[in-house]
Amino acid sequence: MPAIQLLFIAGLTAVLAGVVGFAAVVLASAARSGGGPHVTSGFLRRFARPGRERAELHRWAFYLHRITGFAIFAFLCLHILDVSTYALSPALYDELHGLYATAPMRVFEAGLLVAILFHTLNGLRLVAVDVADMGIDASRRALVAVAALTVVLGAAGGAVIVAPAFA
Amino acid sequence: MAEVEQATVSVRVARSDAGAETTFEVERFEPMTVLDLLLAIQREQDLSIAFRFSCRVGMCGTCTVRVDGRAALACTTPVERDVRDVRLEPMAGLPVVRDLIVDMAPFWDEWARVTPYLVPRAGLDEPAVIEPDSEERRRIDPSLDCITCGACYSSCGVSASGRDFLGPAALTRAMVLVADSRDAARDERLRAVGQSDGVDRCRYIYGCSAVCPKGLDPAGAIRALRRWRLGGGP
Amino acid sequence: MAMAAFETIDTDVAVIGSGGAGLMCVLHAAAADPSLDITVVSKGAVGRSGCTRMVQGGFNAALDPDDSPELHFDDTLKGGAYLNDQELAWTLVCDAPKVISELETVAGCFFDRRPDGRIFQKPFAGQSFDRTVHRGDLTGIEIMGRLRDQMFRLGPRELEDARALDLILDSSGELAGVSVLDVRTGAVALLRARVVVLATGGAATMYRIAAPAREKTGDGVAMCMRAGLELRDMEMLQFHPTGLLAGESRLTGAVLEEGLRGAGAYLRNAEGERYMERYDPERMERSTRDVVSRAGYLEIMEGRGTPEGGVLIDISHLGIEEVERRFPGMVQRTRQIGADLARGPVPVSPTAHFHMGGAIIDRDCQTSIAGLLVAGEDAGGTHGANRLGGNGVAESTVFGARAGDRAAVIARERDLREPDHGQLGRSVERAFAPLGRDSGASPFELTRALKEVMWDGCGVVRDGERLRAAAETIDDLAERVRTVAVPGPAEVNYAWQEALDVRNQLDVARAVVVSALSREESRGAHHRTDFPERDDERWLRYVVVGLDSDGELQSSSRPVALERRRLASKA
Repeated sequence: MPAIQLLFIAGLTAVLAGVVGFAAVVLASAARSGGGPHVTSGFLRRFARPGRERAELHRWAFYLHRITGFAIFAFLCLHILDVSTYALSPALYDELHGLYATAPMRVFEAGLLVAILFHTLNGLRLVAVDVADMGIDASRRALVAVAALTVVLGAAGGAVIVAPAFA
Repeated sequence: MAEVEQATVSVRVARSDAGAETTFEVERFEPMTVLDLLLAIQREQDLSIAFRFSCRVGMCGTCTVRVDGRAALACTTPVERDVRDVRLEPMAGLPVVRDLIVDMAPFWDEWARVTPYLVPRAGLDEPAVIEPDSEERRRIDPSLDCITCGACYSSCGVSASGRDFLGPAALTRAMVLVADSRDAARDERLRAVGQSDGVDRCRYIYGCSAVCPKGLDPAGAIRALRRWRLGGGP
Repeated sequence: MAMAAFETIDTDVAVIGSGGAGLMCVLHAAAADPSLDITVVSKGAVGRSGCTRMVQGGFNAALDPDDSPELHFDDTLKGGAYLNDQELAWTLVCDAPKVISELETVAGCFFDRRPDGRIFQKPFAGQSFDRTVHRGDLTGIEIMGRLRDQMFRLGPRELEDARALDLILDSSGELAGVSVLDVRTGAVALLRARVVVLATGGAATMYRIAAPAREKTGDGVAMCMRAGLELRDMEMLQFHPTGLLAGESRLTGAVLEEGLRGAGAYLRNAEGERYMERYDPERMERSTRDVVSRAGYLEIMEGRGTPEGGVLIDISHLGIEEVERRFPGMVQRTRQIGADLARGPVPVSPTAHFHMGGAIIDRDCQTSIAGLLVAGEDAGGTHGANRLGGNGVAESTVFGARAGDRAAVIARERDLREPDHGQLGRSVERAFAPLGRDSGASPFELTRALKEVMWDGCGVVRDGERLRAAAETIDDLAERVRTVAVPGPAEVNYAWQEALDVRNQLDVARAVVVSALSREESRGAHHRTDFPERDDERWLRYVVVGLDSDGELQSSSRPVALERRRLASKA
């Protein structure tokens, strides 16, 4: 494998490690506040209760928003670097970007799409909360819509991205 | 699924002394609240367990704990018939004094920063004449009755994680006073809530409005302040 | 138990208690003289302990031009069966409108309004005019919340979670200060003060079924007693007729508000009979608290109670929606125990609610000890033999305010004094004794035993024989409390605090029982089956009790001064 590809894989590994590390920090701080340590049965029990309890979804949307935000940013940094190889040598650029067509990388890209979708749609929801003065229930419905759109668009887009690898 | 009535409830309590008993089997009776669980433990199993309460009818706001992770008043939280186990922890984001008792000082520090008392406007010598269905009162009345129990603070992902943030309770109080036509400190208060640790630090988690035992809507108060800050008032 | 060296804190005014009376006192003392150093000592959280916080109903004040303090005064005396100290009652009714105005314009409270924007006043039992000011059914939260906020403006020194142990005198017998135990650290401080204001609240928690907050263990009254002050009307302990029955739950005793009966709720015994027909056929359920409580108690005692040991209140005939709309807080409270006020009957029982008796004060809250003021439920006389609903929070705030005004004056005149260190040492030693013992009675058992004996022996209906038996049991308990043992450290030890509470409760309980024994008639809240009639010839007198120099409780009685109103008619 060419050195430049190894370098990119190392960079991507660093990005993924950073995301996992950041997620751990977010969840650890969550553990100190109301949401974190109850991912187990207690967490499910809370979701099972009717009504306002489901406001807990907002808390997890907040954590997810931060984690996806960090992930997108970190990948963007790497991506700027890998694209700028074109300035050094188009051949090097082509060599490196051959990786993007591989199956594992396509799966990664599909994940990236889901992260971008969630972060964008959820960000629009947060704007809407202020603009439309959305209360807890309206905001929760909007969040469900965000989640649904993320899943639907993510699945469709993901299929388009991943399909060539198996064609 | 048939409801099975449990003879005992297993209570797990976060203790601050190393080695203190943390799990208790409490015989249940009907009706039973989380406060009753704690009193039964104190009376029958462990005299040293520390928790706070006063009125036991949801008015003093001193018995707030996290029940299965969720901030609630121990006195008004029932232990439902089908509950087998309960986990009790002190409120989040406040230093623990002992076991379930926290030091509310950080909460009050934030509260004090919004000038929480009425600054009477000149000439307010007798009770103001304000119609109960006026715009002003319709805005304020649903946000009164805060018992400063701290449940919203504990449940706020920003306050409870130790960030500088006025927090849902203090901001609700600020909103009430900003909307009150008897008050003369509107501009100062709007400035205070507009700083970097004010309304902008809210992350729309809605933990506050979801847990308030009095059914107040601090998240709504924060949104109102966000609008008023730009427009100069209600 | 070894005790750490204690800190001495010097202050001008020491306010013991942070309920309505305590914080009103701070507000007034600071307004009268902003340079005063004021210290608030609160056994629980400042502004969030005690019962002012729990007020649902409201605050009586003659505000309407058609109403007058005279009418309010007459209602208060009639309600109190003319046992009231008329100077105090007159002060209450005259100051109440001023305090309402002050709460609105200074403290920032906002009470419910009429459609025209002026303060709305609702009817309450036993009153000839609609004069009860309120904020929904959470009036206490509005008042205490706003008074608490004032503390951020005034900045008194707050000793939170600090228990006042004893009044400490100097070597010549003058008041020097208060010994204070920090509940969190277990450290003792001597609070030297020019003026001490006691505003700790009553002791109704000493009954099995009781309404008040946990802090209310008669600490102030017990401190007064131990300091040699005389107490009056100690037998007058009000039972609210409709306390919730929730089995072993701590919710038992929580009040279902008076407004239910006002709105037409029925009271029935287990046989389904509206038993008030036999006790007060004219007013039925709307009769006064003392009559309705007694009727319920007798029904239960005579075996016509429900299995839970109560009677039933039923307002469901008004319709689910109507009940939910008018009494949301009460409906919620009953649903919490698995009953439902809107849909059917709920078991209730009389519940110990308010202590009319207490320290003897003048209209400026002064006692016979120079520099010691007493305000609120710790003081006796204002309500006579029975308190009207809505006069309680009025009393706390009116007399709290007066105590503050007076304290500011006295603080300028009185010097700080050097405490008698022997007395201080004894106070501390007594407090720490339970921690030093390896074995002995459990404080929770003693509390439970006291609650039982008071309920059975000195409850809603009394007689000489049971009162004497109760007195003996209380003496036994007082012996046992001297051997109480509590494990653990001094820091945040609530079992220890319970031991200190029950000691105070026992002191007060003894005064209640002795007073009840000596009043050989029935009047207001005090009903004796061996003397069932009110006897105005012999007993238009108030009972006074106090410890003599040997520590024995002595009782006597003095005629009520009828300086403003003679006995109008036997109502």
